[in-house]
Parts: sequence; structure tokens; C-alpha cells
Amino acid sequence: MVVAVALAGLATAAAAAWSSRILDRPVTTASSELEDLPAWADSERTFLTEAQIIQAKAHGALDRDIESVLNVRKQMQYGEFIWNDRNVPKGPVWVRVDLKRQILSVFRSGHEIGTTVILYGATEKETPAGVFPVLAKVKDYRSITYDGAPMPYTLMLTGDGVAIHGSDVRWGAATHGCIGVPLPFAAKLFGQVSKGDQVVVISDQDPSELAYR
Amino acid sequence: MTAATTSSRSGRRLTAKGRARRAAARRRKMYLSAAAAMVVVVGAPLSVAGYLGVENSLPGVAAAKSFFAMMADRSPGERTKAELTKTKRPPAAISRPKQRALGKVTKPAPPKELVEALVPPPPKIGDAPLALAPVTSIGPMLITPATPGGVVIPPQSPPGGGGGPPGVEPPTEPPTEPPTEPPTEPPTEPPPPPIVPEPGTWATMLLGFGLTGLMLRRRRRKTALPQLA
Repeated sequence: MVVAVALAGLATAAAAAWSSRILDRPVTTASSELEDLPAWADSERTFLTEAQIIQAKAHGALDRDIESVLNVRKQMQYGEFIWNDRNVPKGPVWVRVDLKRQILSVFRSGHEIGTTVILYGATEKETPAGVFPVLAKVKDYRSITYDGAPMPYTLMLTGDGVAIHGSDVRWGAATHGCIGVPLPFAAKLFGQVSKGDQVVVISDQDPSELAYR
Repeated sequence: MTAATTSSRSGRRLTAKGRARRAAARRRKMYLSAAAAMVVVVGAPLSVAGYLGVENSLPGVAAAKSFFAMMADRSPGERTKAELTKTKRPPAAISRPKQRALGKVTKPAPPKELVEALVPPPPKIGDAPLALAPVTSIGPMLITPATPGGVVIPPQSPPGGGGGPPGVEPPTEPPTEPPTEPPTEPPTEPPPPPIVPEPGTWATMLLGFGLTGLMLRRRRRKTALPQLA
């Protein structure tokens, strides 16, 4: 009898604890391997053929050879990005920025490892097009021209302050000439790119400009 | 005779029919085997590739898009001038509301100075001479029509002479009381009982039911035993 009452008491206490969330419930987690990959991003990639690369070069969309691009199964929204460098070997890194399409892609040894939607300069403060080697990397940079505005994870492109840095990428926003990327993406990019790596900024207004630089 | 010819004819006809049927069967068998062979030939490598997890998409089908088109597909589109001047997003661009339900709207608290001016803190009996000075300074403003004794008002208000005359206290005390009365809060209604019982209530209920069940069971067993005996 005593034992039964004790057991009943224990059971009720356990039930009460469970219902009041005192006990820790196991949290169901997704597979850890690709947990930071959004659902709309494919874990596979698309390899480009020789013909596709020649075509892209002819259009001015590329100025060098690439191997593969990430599969993006939807139109990316402001603030969204993919980063997937699984099985991509170490090698030269370069960044492609398409101002008109508002897309930035990071390539490592010919394979695209990251892509995001960017912000770029407003009409009166245009982002320059061309090939820029990264001049400097500053993690917590403050703008000199714009009252110490924070520019986290700055990759400086020009001497007059045009840089790639983390910012609040949202609809209806523009920069003073910099290239704004989402903050988590900026952190990953900062870790990947080193000083001297090239950033190719493409603007459709002057496709010929790329060839002369 | 006629029967033989018919028979021979029918026999001949039969053999012709049989031959045709046999040929058709052979053809059908051939088609079937060809189809089976095709299935085996095409299916085996695909199934092996699928089993091993190798990408089995045909080259040139998935990758037929140009690099330009691929970039355009993932792009949110070109930025327009209107995008930079308008503050509201187009409805298509809004994927999901950020806040499902609006927060509770509470009235902002009135500024501290205003509250103090309207409702002065109630003076304590112990430190009456100290509290007098500020109270009387407000007192004439609020309660001048109510106090008939205008004799006391002007000189006693400065704090310098606050501690001095003890005889002044009785007349000044009545004006201090009225301002203390208004701030009494209206009685708040008791909150309604929650619809879902709390865990503690559940636990007690369960314990009670369990004990009742145990007691019932015990009593039944006790009463059943003498019957058996």
C-alpha cells in the first residue's frame, strides 16, 4: 500500500514536472552536416560545359574560367545567401559582383562556394565597375567619410573607401558606393578572401570596360 | 469427297492459321524480350548509380541553361529608381509577416514631474515638520478656496522656518489631508481563473484520484475476502 502510494506520488510529480517543462525535453535537431544550408538550396552543384563558359565570356558575364556554380532553386530575396564549400579544394579565390542583377558570387578554385543578394551604390554614388584586388581587410571598420558609420568585415577595394562589408540588406536600400552583403555572409567572406584576391564588379552599362582594365 | 476437301481445305486453312498464329506469338515474344532487354540495359546502370548516390542526370538537360540565365534566375531582379524612393514594399516581395499578432498597447506613463505636481506624496506623521514645507507650497495653489484661514499661508511656506513654530501645525494639517485622498486607486477586479489548470492542480487532482482508486480497491478486496472464507 505504502509502496503503491509512493509510486503514485512519484508518477504525479513526474507528470507535473513534465507538464510544467521543468524537465528538459529532447530537442529535435536537423542533420548537422548541412544545417546551415537553406531548404531551397541544393547540396549539389551544376558543372558548366566549355560552351557555356565561352558563351558567358562572350556576353561579358565572366572574365575567367570556372568549373561549377551552386544550385539555387528559387529567386533569392534580400538578406538571403548560400554558403556551401563542401568538397571544394583549396585554391585561388575571386569574387564576382553583378550590380544589375544584385548578385555576388564567391569562387574558390573555379567552384562557386557562396552567393548572396547585395546592396550597391545609389545613382548619385555609383559603385565603380572593374577588377579590384582587395587592398585591406578590417574586421571592425568605421567609415571616415560618413560619420563613423559601422562597416563590419570590410574588404577595401579602392583607396577612396569603396568596400565590401556587412550591412542590413533589405528592399529599398542602397549604399554610398560600397557593396553591402548580409552580416553572416560578410563574416564567411571575410574568412575566405585574403589581401590581393580579385573582386570583379560587373555593371551592364559598360560591358567593354572589363576588357580594358 | 466434299467432306475430305473441306477437311483438307480446313486442314490447310488450319495449318496456315496455326503458322500465322505461331509467327505472331514469336513476334510478340521477340518484342517482349526486346523490351525486357532494354529495361535491363537502361535500368541496371541507373539503379546502380542511384544505389551508389552518383548523380545520374543526363548531361545537357539540367545544364542547358546559360551562365547568364542561371544568374538571372537567382537574382531578385533589377533595382529600380522607384525602389529607392518608395518606402513600402511591393506585395509580391513580402514573404511572411514578421509579427503575427500585435503587441499589447499600453498608455505611456505621464512624466514624473506632472505626477508629482498633481498628486504629492502623502506626508508621514513622524516627519510632519519636514514634509510641511513642500506641501504648503503647493497647498495654496490647489486648495486656496477651501481654506478659510488665509492667515497662515504666506510666511510659513519657506522651508527656513519649518522647524520653528510648533503652534502652526494644527491649522496647516487640514489642507494636507485633501490631496492624499484622491490618489486612492480604484479597486482592481480579481483576475479571471485560467481556463487550463496549472500543473500543480493537475498533480493534486491525479494524486487524489489515484488515492481514491487505491482506497476503493483496498476496501473491495477487504470485503471480498470474508465472502471467500
